[in-house]
Amino acid sequence: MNDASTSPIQVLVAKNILTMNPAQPYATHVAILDGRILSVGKSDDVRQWGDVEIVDTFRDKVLMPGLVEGHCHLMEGAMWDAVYVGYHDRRGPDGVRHPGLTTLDAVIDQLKAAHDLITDPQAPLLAWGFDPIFFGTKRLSVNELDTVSAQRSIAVLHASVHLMNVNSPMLALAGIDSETDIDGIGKNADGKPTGELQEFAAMFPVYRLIGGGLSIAASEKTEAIWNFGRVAQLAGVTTATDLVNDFSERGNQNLRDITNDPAYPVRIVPAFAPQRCPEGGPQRVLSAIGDNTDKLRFGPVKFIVDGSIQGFTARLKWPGYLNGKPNGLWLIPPSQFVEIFAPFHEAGLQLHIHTNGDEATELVLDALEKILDRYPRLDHRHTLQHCQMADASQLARAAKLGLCINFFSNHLYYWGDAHYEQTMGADRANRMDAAESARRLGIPFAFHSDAPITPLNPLFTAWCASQRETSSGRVLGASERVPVAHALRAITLGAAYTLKMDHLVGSIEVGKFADFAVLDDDPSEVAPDRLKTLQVWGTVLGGRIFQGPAG
Amino acid sequence: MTASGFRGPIPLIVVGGYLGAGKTTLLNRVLANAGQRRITVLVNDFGAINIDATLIRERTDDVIALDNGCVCCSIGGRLVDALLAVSNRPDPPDFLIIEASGVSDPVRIAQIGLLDRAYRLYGIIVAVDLASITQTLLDAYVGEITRQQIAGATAILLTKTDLIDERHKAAAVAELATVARTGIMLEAENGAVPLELFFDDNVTGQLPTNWSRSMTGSNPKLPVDFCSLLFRTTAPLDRKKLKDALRSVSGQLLRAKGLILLDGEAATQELHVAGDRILITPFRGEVVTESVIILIGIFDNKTKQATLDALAAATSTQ
Repeated sequence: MNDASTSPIQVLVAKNILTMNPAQPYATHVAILDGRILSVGKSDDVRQWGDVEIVDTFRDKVLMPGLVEGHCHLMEGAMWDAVYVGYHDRRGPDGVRHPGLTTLDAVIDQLKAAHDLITDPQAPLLAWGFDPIFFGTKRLSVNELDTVSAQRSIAVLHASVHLMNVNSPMLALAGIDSETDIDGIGKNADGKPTGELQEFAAMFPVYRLIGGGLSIAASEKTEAIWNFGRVAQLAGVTTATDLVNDFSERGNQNLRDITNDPAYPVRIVPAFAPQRCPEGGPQRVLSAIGDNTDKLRFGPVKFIVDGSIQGFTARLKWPGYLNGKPNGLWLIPPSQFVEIFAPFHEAGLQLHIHTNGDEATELVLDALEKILDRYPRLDHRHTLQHCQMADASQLARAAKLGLCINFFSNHLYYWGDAHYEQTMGADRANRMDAAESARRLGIPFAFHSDAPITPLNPLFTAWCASQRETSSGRVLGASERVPVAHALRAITLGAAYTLKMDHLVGSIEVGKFADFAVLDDDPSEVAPDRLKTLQVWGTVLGGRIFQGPAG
Repeated sequence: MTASGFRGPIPLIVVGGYLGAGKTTLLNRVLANAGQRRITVLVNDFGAINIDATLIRERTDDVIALDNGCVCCSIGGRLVDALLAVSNRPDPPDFLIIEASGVSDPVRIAQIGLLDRAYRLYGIIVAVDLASITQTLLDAYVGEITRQQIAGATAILLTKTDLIDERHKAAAVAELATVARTGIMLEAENGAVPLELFFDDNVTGQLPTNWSRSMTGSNPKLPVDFCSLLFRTTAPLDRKKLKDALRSVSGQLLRAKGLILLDGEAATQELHVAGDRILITPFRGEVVTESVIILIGIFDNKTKQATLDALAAATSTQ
């Protein structure tokens, strides 16, 4: 901010301002007072309020409402202490672009380079984001990892976070050898461990050894919260959720302290997850709401009822998984949905319910129908999260029940080919993440990244929803493509609506927070294909400018 | 524990079973009869923990402390954190029980006790509501996970048996037998859980004199053939044959443990078996000159001899 200001009113001048307000879709000037939008329009419009200070930093830029990520996790910020070895490009908190590693050799080379930079001889080498689904039948094994180091212990966490690969020193430290006789420990033809460890029990001894590394409880760590803020800012995001939060005393205190710092670039919306932290119930959220600030907004409640489609743990209706894998798992018994959700609904709280497979979606619809019959509530905005496989009949029910849907549209690109060929087959892959159907039905909708599962970048997510291209270039169900204007609305006002924050953020209108994404080009005018590569210059949060590093 | 101060792994029992099968009743019974043992219970589920109010000394946010020194914690989904915390305590519990959620597979959690050095698996006890199991197994949404729970059990606790007549009971037990790998199915009459499922020292039988705890009293509610069995040999045992022999009797076996001499291994080995899950690790205590294995399970005179014969045949042949 300019210290020499003579007026408390600042006016940002831009090449174009995309407001998301249909009454005034475009503007060139936006006046800000006390962190809020005072006026939007032409030069004369905003001068109605008296003397202003003109800020022309953005005269060659385009402003749009600060982007809203309605389903991501602070854990994104916790991963960056480890080395990124994912298949796709990803930007770290420092703005550095980590190129995707598309061969196993490239993964090994990256690990070797990272290994050479570690000075502490005892420190393990930790990496994350590895996704073998892109390498056909080739697997990373202890042999390859031992070429990185046969002395230093190494752990490589997969993108799914349900598996990891380790080297021989880590196996030895964890006490895993050919005699170890439990599921989840990969063995080769000679009965020796391959170093691939699957699921909780097999990975546990490694977690014991690496302490807080690669851990999910990110709000316990201040640096993770800061890193998360930086990653979000780079993508033009000014409001982001932490959609599974323990509400631990320390975590909440960290969030309060950090979001209070004017230098923290994002408003955080933590969702209470009763499944991780059962005590307290609705009262816990209601009391947290009492402490809400402009930058820390408690309120949503998150439930997870099934697993993931690519992990074959989502609950599918007939005919199930294309490759014949058994149906997935429930995290809550369906017969308990009503009794578990209802107290939160009755307390006036908003539910965000993870349903990946179509059977999960169906049974959650059944439960919500019962709850709403019993305790009708206007404007509840309960939101189905992911809702990747819903068919037309389920979407119609969601519309009638007044639900919102936040689709996991990034799946179309990242796992679209896997869904087409391995998990659900062509019929259901072509209709997955059916945002355009939802739009036609008038369902309030958004799209998300679920970061760290996929990179946090709403413009990219909007591209996924509007183009529906897989990473191999296959188009999944062109009729479900969302027009670009609506896709841009979904990553701003749409997501804000699902968080009950559309009165505060999501559009550039008088009275809302002065939160903007600053772009070089106008996303509503570029060719749809360019949405995914648009340069984000930085953000403005409550009138404060946050320039991102060039990347 | 040995005189050298080496702290052994914490015995771990995972309790599973579908909703309403009686897991909480079972836990209350075990906690009320903990005796001198300091038990920690982790409830890996959500919703209120229903611990018998008369046992509770103090209740905080997510921890219930009992008068007898036991602790019950509601951990929701934070199992990794909770397990690390329990094993890192300066005074770890004598016994850890994890109550798995009604739709989870207790085997997944139990495997911690076969791999992590801080824990040792003593059993996977799955409660089955005998009155409704037939219907539950047919359920389109939870039938499969219930089947998986039963298949993974090292012992099954039959509950609500008083709600059905003998004919239904027999039919339900027969159906369970086609799913379960264990043949150990015990009835909990009016919630009276046989504590022998949890604690060795409640089992009647023969014990080597140097075994750390003596066994007390017999339980009239147990099957008459529920007992412990002792095997000893000075001939070194063959690792593979021993495992095969143990697996061949795993349907009747609740638990087995022992200190053994293996062919090709200079050090004494510790054997630990829960159902058909076998763990052999180098023993850090004193060196033995004779292999001693104690088995607990349901053995009649015939299977008793067959078991001892199978173990005797597992000695190295060279």
